[in-house]
Amino acid sequence: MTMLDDPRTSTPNVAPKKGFKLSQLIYDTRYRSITIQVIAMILVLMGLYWLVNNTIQNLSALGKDFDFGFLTQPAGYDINQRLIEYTSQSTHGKAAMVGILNTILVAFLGCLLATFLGVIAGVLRLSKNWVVSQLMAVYVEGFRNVPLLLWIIAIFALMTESMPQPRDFKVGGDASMAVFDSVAVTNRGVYVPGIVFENGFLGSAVMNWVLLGAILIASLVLIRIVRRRADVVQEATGVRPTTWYQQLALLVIPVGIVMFLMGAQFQYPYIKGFNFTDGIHLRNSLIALWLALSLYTGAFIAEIVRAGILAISKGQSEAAAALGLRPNRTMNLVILPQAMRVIIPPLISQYLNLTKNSSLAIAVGYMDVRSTLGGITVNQTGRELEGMLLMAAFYLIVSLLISGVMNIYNNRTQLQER
Amino acid sequence: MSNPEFSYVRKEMIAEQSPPVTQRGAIKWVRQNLFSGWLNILLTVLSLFAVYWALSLVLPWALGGVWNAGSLTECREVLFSFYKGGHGGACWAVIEDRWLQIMFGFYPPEEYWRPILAFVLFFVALAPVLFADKVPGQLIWFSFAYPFLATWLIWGGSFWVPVFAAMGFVVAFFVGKVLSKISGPIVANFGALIAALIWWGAIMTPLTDTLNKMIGQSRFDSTLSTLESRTAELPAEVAALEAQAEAKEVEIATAVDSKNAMLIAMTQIRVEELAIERQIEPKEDAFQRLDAAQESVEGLAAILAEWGGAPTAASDSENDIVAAGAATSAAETLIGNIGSLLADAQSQLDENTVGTDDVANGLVVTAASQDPSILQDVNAMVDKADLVDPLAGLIERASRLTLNDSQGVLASLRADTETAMAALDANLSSLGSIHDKIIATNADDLKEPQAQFLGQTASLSALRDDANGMAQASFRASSELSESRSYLTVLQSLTDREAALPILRDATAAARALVPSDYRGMIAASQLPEDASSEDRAVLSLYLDARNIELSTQASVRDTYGQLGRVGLEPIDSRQIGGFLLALIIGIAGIVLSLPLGILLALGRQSHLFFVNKICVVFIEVIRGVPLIVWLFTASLLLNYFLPPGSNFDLMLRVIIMVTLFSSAYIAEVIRGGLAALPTGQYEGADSLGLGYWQSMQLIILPQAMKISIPGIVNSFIGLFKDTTLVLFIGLLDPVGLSNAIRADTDWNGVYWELFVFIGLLFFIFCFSMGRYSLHLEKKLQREHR
Repeated sequence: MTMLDDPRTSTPNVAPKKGFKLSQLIYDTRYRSITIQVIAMILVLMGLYWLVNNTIQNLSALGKDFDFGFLTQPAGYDINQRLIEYTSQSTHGKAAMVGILNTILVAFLGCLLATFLGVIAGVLRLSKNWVVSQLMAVYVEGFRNVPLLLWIIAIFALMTESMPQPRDFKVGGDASMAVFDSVAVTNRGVYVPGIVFENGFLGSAVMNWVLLGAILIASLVLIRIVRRRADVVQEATGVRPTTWYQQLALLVIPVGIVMFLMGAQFQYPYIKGFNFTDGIHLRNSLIALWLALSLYTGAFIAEIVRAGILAISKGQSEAAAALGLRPNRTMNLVILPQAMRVIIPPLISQYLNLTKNSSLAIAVGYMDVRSTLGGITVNQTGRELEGMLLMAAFYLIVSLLISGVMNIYNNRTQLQER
Repeated sequence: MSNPEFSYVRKEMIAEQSPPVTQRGAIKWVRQNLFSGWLNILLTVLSLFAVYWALSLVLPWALGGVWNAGSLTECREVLFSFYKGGHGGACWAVIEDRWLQIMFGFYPPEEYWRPILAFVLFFVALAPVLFADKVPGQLIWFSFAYPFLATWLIWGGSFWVPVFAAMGFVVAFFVGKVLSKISGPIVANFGALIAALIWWGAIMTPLTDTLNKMIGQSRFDSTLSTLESRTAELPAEVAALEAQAEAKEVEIATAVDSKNAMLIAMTQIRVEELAIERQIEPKEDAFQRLDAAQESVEGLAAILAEWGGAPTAASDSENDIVAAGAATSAAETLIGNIGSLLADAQSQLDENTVGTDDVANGLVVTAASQDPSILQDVNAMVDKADLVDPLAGLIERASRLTLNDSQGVLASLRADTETAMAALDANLSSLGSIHDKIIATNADDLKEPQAQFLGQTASLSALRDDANGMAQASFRASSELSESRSYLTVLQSLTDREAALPILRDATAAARALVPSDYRGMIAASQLPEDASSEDRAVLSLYLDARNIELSTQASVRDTYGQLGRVGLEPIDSRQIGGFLLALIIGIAGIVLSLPLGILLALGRQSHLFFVNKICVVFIEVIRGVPLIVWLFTASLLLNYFLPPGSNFDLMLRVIIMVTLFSSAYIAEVIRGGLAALPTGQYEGADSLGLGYWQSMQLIILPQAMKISIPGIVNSFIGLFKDTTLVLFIGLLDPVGLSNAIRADTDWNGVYWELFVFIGLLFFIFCFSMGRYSLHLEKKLQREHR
């Protein structure tokens, strides 16, 4: 490429006979790049100095300083949706932590549902069934071309304005619970059954869940080992041993045993007075944000999946058919592995977008990191600069982590070109 | 030459026959596309059902909507009079009433032509970029002039302000041209930049001020006399307009009264129907309660059957005792429920319903005389006593229920409850048929009032439109009056203020001389060190006050001359701009302004210069890694910290700056894609011609790369346009923010879906057509490249 320091663009680089002249800094391509970089560096540093100097002056004029000490002071406000213990006596730092966990929660749930919806819509949009493909086109275009904020507010209004009140669920009322009397959709949120441990091994409920998660991960690792072994046997003999029952047993039995020993029980929500008790209360804010984010991102993922499948040339499936592979094996062994290479990078950038878009929680009052750290904390302490910096740093770290994962994946699956 | 040995041979082919019915036309298409396998059939049926369900929800609501009404209450009145209570129809009247606001915000209606003209001219300015081969090349000059023209059209002010701003570029161009002849391109570019900055920073403001002052002084006397005569005339005009508006208000009040009278008349026609409804509701309620009671009896029977009588623990083991206890308490709760449900049902029937005779008496007046079969239905009704009395017995039996009762007792209780329910059901169905018949007989009577009612609401909303126009005219006149008055005072004091300026300047200088030299740079007394003496403190605040007074007087003189010497359009405040106009301004300004920056960033990211490259990468990744909403809050909360003390400007301008920086990172990635897509041969070809870096970029690389990038740029514009809705959170009135504002009005409190549908539809039309256009461009590019 043509670049300033590229030797191809200039006359042959014969060392000048005379000594170094000052004008060479501008006219000699060997030195010019250094000159330009130095000038650029000086300009950038001057700009930064200007910004920092202005900030210092403005802060001192307002009688403020730059200090993160507020993070250890008591917050004094309540957060209604939280995953860890928190009271109004906890610190601002803890409040920020609750917000971060809430952001991660809605982002995680959103990514799961969006992938599910997106894959189904993307595949069905390619269906030969005219009605289905048109329906999916309406879904995709409808969600892609209307602002996400409008969808969030609309779904929130749907939940709060059109759903029955909890007291309608009383005996003789108009509303009834769904899914075998276990889920109640009300205008105050959705109540679903929770799982409680009657005699947990560890003190708090959170730790018991962590224990279960650890066991599940261990099971998954074991399953992976079993599969590897099967691969090795297949490589050696050409016959793949049947392992599905081993995998199923590994997945179900350890978790099942531990849950049985801990006395896991479903706790169904039931109406008491004018509201539901027991079970898990998913607030409208979470539901609206989650559904809107998933439906919106799902529409984008559908387009990615469709493009990924269309990117595989027809010759691939014809060649697979010529080898005698059946359609479902063609899909599993030939099309999907190649399509995944096209699908995964934009998919992950959609996950990134979803995480960033979760900051729209402000529209429905969901207490994410922007509402706690960047909202109430900033308003109460007057630390706009510090709060915004911390929040920007959080989002930046998340996106750098996700794009790091994407780069690793890309490097692993890149085609080895000749 | 026929040969008898051969049997018959056909000489000519028979005509081709059409394929069987199942293999042609629509039927073949349907079979192949919709019903080719069980999965396909399932999918078709499911999606058809989904479509039907969605349409059956939306269509009656949308098509049965009300277009003429002054408030949500009036919408509901119209819906009620047409048998569409609750969610039966949309209240489109809110759109009819407020659509201009959603489009333009609080932009003055008499100036709407300005943004519309700017929008139309936008496409003219785009033409040389998008259809370079179909329009004359000179049009590109209009594209360059357009940003200045559009800014002037939308915000108004003197016409020379945009001209002077544009002159900065002209100055930069000529300085660059001259310098490039003397020295190399780096010095020339740098010099051009400096020249432009000097023009905008040091020359433009004094030039504008001088021009304002010159024109202002020449106009001073004539403006003063016009203002004096205007302030004398206007009060009478305002009074006349207000009187007109009041007369209109009276007219509206009469119209509302006659509309309400109509509503009452219609209710009187429907009085029998409403009376029957009042009978049906408590009975339906009682029926539900009986149903629940019967279910409870069933549940009790199930528990007793399971335990073989009253639940007792089979052994002394703790589990057994707990299980028996739970069953006992569940059964006792059920017994309690049965009693209370039956009692509720009885009291509903006893207190809230009337007997057959009363129903008949209430109906004799009109409906029954038109349709005698109604009275037969009344006669067929179950008597009230027959409904209530059996319940008393049931309640008595329920109160005697114990856990030791046999299944037989429960079964007979159930059977009797069912009998009571059947009687109630029969009663309900007669009431239902009476209700239907009354509606049928009323339908004709109601037709005329309904049509009249619609006409009345339509004329009422026409009246309201008139009144609105008058109110606006009177508001305009009265605000012109108050503005003229204050302008007059300002003009009258202008000479004094100008005369005071040198005195104030001297005073500031004198106060400054008193302040110790260490503290002279300070901008607030709070910056003084802790140990500063109280004298220093006093002197510093004296100096700061004097300076503030001097600066504000200076500014006010300049403003007065600016107003006096204005030759151009009425200035518009940014706070008045809202709705889709705001979204378009932010979106278009963001994309257009970010293009140059985005190109530089993309080139920098491709550069081999280590430092330049890293700066660009860090900038792009930081901007892209943080959500727009955080940047917007930065613009509204923090931007003032980063700028020199005392600088404070428009929130909308701050948002545009932030959005420009934000979208420049995305544009840079799009253009980087375009640069990467060019074959290396292009770069090498440019090199082999002996072109320098900027020459090869400007002449060879960028024109091609930009052309490839246009679809991507359009797509990022769509994204940015949708994201402009986020400015609502920092207090600008975008369409969604305006919908909240409309809902805050008492007339339209509670309107959700109509506004959402309208705003969503506008966004959809805009973004969808842009997306289609970008797809079309992509396909065209692919064709041209091969």
